[in-house]
Amino acid sequence: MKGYTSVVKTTQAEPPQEDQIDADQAIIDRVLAGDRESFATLIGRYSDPLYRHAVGMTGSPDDAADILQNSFIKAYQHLGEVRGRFDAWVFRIVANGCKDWLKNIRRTHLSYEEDDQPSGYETPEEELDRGELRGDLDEALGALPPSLREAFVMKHVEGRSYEEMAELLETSVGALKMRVHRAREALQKLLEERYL
Amino acid sequence: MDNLDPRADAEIPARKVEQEPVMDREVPMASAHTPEAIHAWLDGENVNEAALRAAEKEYEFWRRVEAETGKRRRIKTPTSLPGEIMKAIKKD
Repeated sequence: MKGYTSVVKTTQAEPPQEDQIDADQAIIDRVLAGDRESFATLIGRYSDPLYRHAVGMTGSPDDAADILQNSFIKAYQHLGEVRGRFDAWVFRIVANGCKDWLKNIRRTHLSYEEDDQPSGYETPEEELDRGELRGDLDEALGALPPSLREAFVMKHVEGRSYEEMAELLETSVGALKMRVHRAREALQKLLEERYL
Repeated sequence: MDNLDPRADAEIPARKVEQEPVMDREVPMASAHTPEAIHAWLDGENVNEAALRAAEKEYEFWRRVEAETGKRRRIKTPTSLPGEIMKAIKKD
């Protein structure tokens, strides 16, 4: 049968290598020594995956941008407390920011349509492609409990491996597989009437 | 001889189960049956073609979802945002 392949993921997010971790630490040392401008390098290096996470969790490019801004400011203010990987540390700040946002906002319907900010899709065609599935998927994601949504977004939107997710969320691969599977089954239930 | 002490059972260690966050346990979600082959395929594992063929409708559905999440995987930070963050940091 044509079209069925054994592997789906082609753009797996790669965790930083050892030399990247050392390079991050060198930048942190420079910032702490007074070179504030160097912090822009860390923002440039990690903002895209963090922004994707925040958009996936909130469904709102405007709120995702706010969360990212607040998270990087918090990271800058506490930079001296980084132990180990900077990307994992700043990810946790953003992830907690998203969870706090969800607790406060308690939205049930999420839609990119409500925002002024473009979502940041790669091409104008993708940006303008407001197909039914896109809106329905946003709504279905909005109905998931935060931990299932987080697992689904990390796996399917950010393209992370279970091992990378486990490291970032400080939990087991087995627990995360279970969450992703439960998220898929809940999403399929929410969308099957229309799409299956 | 069997141990008839009812307290004996209590000493058997409970099977370790994965703890899910309270929020998830308190909000039961209705769920569909997604075939194992589909989960495996979505997880990037090798999947038997016949097993996928048997779940053709689910495969088509998840292929569409994957196409949409694939676009989201390429989303970029708004170009103005890094500059705004640096401006806010300098104001601090």
